[in-house]
Amino acid sequence: MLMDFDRDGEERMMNRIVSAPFGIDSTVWSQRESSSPEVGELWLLAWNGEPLGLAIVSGVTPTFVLLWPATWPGESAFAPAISIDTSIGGLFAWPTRETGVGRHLLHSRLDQPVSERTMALVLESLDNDTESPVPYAQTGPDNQERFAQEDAMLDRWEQICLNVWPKPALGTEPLNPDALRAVSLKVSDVSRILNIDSADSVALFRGESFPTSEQVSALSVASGLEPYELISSPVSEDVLFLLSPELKGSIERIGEARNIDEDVARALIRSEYALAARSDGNARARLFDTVQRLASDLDDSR
Amino acid sequence: MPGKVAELGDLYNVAPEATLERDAKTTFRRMVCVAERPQDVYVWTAMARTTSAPDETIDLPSSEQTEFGLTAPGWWSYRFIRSVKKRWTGDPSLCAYLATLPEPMKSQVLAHYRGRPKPGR
Repeated sequence: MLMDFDRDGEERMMNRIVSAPFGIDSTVWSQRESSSPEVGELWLLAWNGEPLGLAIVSGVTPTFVLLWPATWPGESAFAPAISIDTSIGGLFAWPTRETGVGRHLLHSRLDQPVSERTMALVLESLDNDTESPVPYAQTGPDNQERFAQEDAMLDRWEQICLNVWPKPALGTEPLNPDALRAVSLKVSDVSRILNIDSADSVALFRGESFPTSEQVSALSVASGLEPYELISSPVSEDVLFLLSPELKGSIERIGEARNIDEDVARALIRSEYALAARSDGNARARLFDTVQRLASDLDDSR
Repeated sequence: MPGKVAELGDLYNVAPEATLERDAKTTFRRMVCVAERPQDVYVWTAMARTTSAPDETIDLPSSEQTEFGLTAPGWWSYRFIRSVKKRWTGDPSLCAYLATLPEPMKSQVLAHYRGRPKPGR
């Protein structure tokens, strides 16, 4: 459930965050950055132009980050959330509710309100059940109102965790035979479900041919697995580059101007990148050029 | 009711409702307790097991163990660590206790979680 970001005269355009989300000081917002994430930083997460939440980075990998979910400024929380002073005001963060989040959701770095050492001490205090180096939020009542607040927080962050990009592209990527075996589907079962001969079924199992979207749908119905679970989708170099927060603003602009969702804008960039001349510079430079070209096409057409 | 309180290494069959009502995945998930969180009234921390979307450079391979409901080879992944609601833990229809992982599997899984990227001193 997203908060109401339209109060207090704030403006939003479809598919793009153009002014400070609710509770974030406009001066701080204007100074936001989108460099690579580091432990202890406060980030705004967003998808498809919608602010999703604030969080403190607790760990970094090439494709995802681990985060301590945080409140919006002014939002209440109860222990064991910890109280943190930031450039956008006092927040609460939950070291006990750490979660993984794809780097594609990292929108803006707002502050570095806590040191890595302090975060390590907080974890030690939790492990050893000793006094926290950072104050806890107040202890709250165990009533229905708090139940509802906690459930809303947990559900929101579960959705954020499960926001995956890229989702496998049907028709252009191979089946995942492990997923089929996990639900006890054999080559003969695939032949029967898809009404194809065993040679074609073997080719699908071996990744020598790719299933069509209709075939994936049929296997999804038969197996109970989601379509994206039936497809293998290795992380390619263009995906790694597009996970960079530095590109998110340009991707949002492309989506906004073309009136398409962020995942469609990202797919468009990947498609254009695949068509780009392979001899021009390195892969990262080609990807950045592709994004800049699509973005400048918009500027030229205005 | 066994497994009403999640302890380290306990394996659960977690319904979407125990973590999120609008979960993108409609089937149950196998999740293992990696942090009991005695300070948090509402949740414990679970690490998920995937059979279909591993990052083989960092995820921990996990062999098939049908006696625990692990019906296919997979990987333990801290990409999808998240919170499970305590009040539904052990409920057969929402968050059924399956088993406590035996050694050395339990130690390997917990070591994998503890080896995740995290703040250092």
